[in-house]
Amino acid sequence: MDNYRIVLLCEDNFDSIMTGIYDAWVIMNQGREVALEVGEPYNYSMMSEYQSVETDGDKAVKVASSIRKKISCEAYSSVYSAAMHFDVNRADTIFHFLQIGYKMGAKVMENLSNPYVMRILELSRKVGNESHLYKGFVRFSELGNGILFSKIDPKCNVLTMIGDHFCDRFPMENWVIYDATRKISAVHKAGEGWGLVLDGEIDSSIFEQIEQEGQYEKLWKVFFNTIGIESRYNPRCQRTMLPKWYRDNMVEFK
Amino acid sequence: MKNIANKCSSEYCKKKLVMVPYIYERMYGKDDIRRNHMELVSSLTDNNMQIYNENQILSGNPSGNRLSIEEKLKILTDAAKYDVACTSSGVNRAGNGKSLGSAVGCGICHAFASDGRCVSLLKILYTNECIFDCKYCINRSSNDVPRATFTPDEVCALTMQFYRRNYIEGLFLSSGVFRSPNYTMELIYETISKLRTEHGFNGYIHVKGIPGVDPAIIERLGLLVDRMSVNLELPTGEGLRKLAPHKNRKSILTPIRQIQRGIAQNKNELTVYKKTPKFVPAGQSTQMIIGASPENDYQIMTVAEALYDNYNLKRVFYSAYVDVNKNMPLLGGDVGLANMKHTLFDNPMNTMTGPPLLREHRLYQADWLLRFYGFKANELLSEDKPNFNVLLDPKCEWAIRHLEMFPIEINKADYFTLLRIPGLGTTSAKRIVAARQHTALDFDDLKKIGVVLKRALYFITCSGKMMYNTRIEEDYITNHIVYNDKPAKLGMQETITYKQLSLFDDAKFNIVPNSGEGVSALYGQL
Repeated sequence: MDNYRIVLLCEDNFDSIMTGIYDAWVIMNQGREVALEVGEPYNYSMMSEYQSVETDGDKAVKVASSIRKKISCEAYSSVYSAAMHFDVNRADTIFHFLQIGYKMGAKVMENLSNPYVMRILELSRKVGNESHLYKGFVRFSELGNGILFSKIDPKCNVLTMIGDHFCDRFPMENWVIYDATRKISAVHKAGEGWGLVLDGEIDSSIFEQIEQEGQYEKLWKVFFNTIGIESRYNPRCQRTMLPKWYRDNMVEFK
Repeated sequence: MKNIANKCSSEYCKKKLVMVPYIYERMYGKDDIRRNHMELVSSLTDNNMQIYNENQILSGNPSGNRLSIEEKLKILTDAAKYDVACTSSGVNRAGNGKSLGSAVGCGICHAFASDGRCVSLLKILYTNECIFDCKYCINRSSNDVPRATFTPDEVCALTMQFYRRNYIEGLFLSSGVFRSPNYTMELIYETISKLRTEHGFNGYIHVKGIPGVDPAIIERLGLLVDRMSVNLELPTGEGLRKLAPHKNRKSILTPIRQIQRGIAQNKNELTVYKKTPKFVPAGQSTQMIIGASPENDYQIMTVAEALYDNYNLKRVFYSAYVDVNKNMPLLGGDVGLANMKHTLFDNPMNTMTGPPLLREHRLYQADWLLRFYGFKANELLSEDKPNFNVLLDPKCEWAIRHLEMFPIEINKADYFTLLRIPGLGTTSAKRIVAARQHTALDFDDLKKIGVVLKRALYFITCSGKMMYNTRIEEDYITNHIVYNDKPAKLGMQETITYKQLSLFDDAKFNIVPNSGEGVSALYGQL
C-alpha cells in the first residue's frame, strides 16, 4: 500500500480545504502522489488510499496567511472564492495553483496560459458572478417578530461573499439568509456584525410563514408586472439575465 | 496575524480579511458574536408569530373616490416605464451604520422585467398630470388617461419597505409637469428631502430634472440625490419644435450645463474640504428617442459624442420609439430596419410597427465604442454613410473598411490597438496584455484565456501566423462573418469567394428606404 496514491477528502468549507492542502503538502514532501477531493467521492479509483481530513484551525490559518505573504492578497482572494465553488476538484486545483504560486510569487496571477491558474480564475469568476447576482436577487420577507428572512438555493457557497454587503446595507435590521442547499445561514443582529451558523437547520414552519403575502409583496408584484413594456416583450433576454432556477425564491415569480 | 494584515496595503487584503468569518473569528476571538446569532436563530422558531401589520400610512387611506395605493402605483409605474435609465451605478457609498442603505459603484440589478430590462430602481412618476403636450408621450395633456399623484409619504413608505426587502437598489423619481416646472420640482424636492432626512434613507436616488426649472431648486436637490438627468428627448432642435412644443433646446441644455458646473465645482471643494456634501456624485445622464424624428444615426452619434465631450455626461441612453399614442408612425428609415430585423431574428414582436430595437442596439454598440474603445463618431459614420449596417456591428464594419490596419499581431500590439479588433473587448484585451508577459501566445492560449475567436480570427496573427488560411479581403470576411461559415482549415484552399445573390440581405445594405417607400412596398405599389 505504500506506493498507492493518497486521496484526501475534505469537507465543504474553507477551513477544511486549507487543512487538506497543508496535509497534502506534507505527504507530497514524503515523495508520494497526492490528490484532494471535496465531499464524498462519487467514484472511487483503483490503487488509491482514501483518507479524510481532520479540520485543524491552526493549519488552515498557516496556509491562508502564507498565501497572502508569499503570493499576494489578490491570489488569496481568488483562492478563497474558488473554494466556494461547487466543483469537486476545486481543492486539487487550488493545490496545484499554490505549487506554481509559491514558485512564481505575485506574478502567478498573470500567467493565464497555465491551466491551473486559468481554472482558479474561472472558478472564482463564477463564484463572484453568482454572489453579485445574489446581492440583487435575495428577497427578504418579514416575519412576525420583525426579522427579515430569506431563503436561497445557490449553486456556489455565496453566503460569506454577500454577508458583508447586507451587513453594511441593513445595519439596524435583524436578518437571516438561509442557504437551503448547504443548510447554513448568515445571521445578523441589529447593530452588530454578522456570522455564519453552520449547523442551523431551520424549522419548516418559517417557510409556511414566508409563503403568505403581505401588502408590500402585493405592491411589488403590481410594480413588477407593470414595468415591462409590452411591445418590447422578450422572455429570452429575461431568461438570460435572470435564469429560471433563481426564480423559485423570488416573490414576484410566485 | 494582525501584523501581516496591516502591513499589506492591498485593497484585497482589507476587504477579504473580513470576508472569511471562520478564520477571522479564530484570529480575533469573536466567539460571542456567534453565540448571539445562535440565540437569534432559535428565537426564530420560538416566537408566536403573526404576519406583521403593515405601515399605517398605506392602510389608513381615507376611502371614498380616491385611488388606492395599488391603483396609484399601477398608473404611475405604467406612465414611467418608457424612461430608459434604470442604472444604479456610479457611486460607492458605504452604509452609515445607523440607517438603511448603501450604494455600490458597479450597480446591482434586482430583477429583470418581461422585456428583459433590468429592474434596479423603483421607477415611478410622482404624478402623471402634465401641462406639456409632447406628441410622443403617453402622459401628454391632450390624452385621456387615468391620472394619479403620490404623496411624499407614500413614495417614502414604498421606497423604504421595498428597499428593506431587497427588491430595489433605490428610487428613480420622475414626474409629469404639474402646474409648472418649479412647482413640480418643489414637490420632488420635498419627497426626496423627507426620504433622506426623516427616514434616513442612504440608498441610491435618481431624479429627473424638468426643463425650465429654477436653478436654485436644482442646486438644493443636487446635494440630496446621486444622479440627475435631464432628457434631451430628440437629437435636434428641429425635432423638438415639431414634437415637443413646450420644450426647447435651450431650456434643456441650461440645467445640463448647470449640473455639469456644479459637479466640477463640488470636486474642487472636495479636494480642500473632505466633509463638503457631494453634488450629484454619480454624475448625470440623458436620453434620446430614436425613430420619432427623421435624424440619421450619424447625427445622433455626433450629438452623443458632443454630450460626452462637452457636458461630461456619464451616459446617453437611446430609447427606441414606441408609438404609444397611435398617432405618429416611425420615421428615419426604421421601416427598412424593422423589416430586416424581422427576417433576421425571427421575433414575432418585431413587426413593422414595433420599436426599432435593432437600430437602438447598434447605437448602444457604437456608444460603447465611443466611451471605452477610443473611437470617434466620424470614424464610424460619415455624411455619405449616415446609418449603421443592419448585418454587421459597428466595430466589425469599421474593421472591414480599414483592412489596411490588419492583421494585428497579438503578441506585439498595444492595448488600444487590440481594442480595435472585432470580437475583442476590454476584458480580453487586458488578459492578453497580462498573459503575453510570460509566454508568446498562440491561438490555443487565446482560447484558454477565454478570448472568443469567432470574429477575431480574420483580423489577427499570433507570432506571425493566422489561425486558418483566411484572406484579408472585404467580401470574403463579410460573407464568413455574416453567414457564420467555418473558414477552410489550413492547407485546404478555397478557390472562389462566392457571393449570394439576394434582393434584401446584402451585407452592404445600408441605404435605408424612407417611410414612404416602406409603405408603398408594403402595399405592393412598386
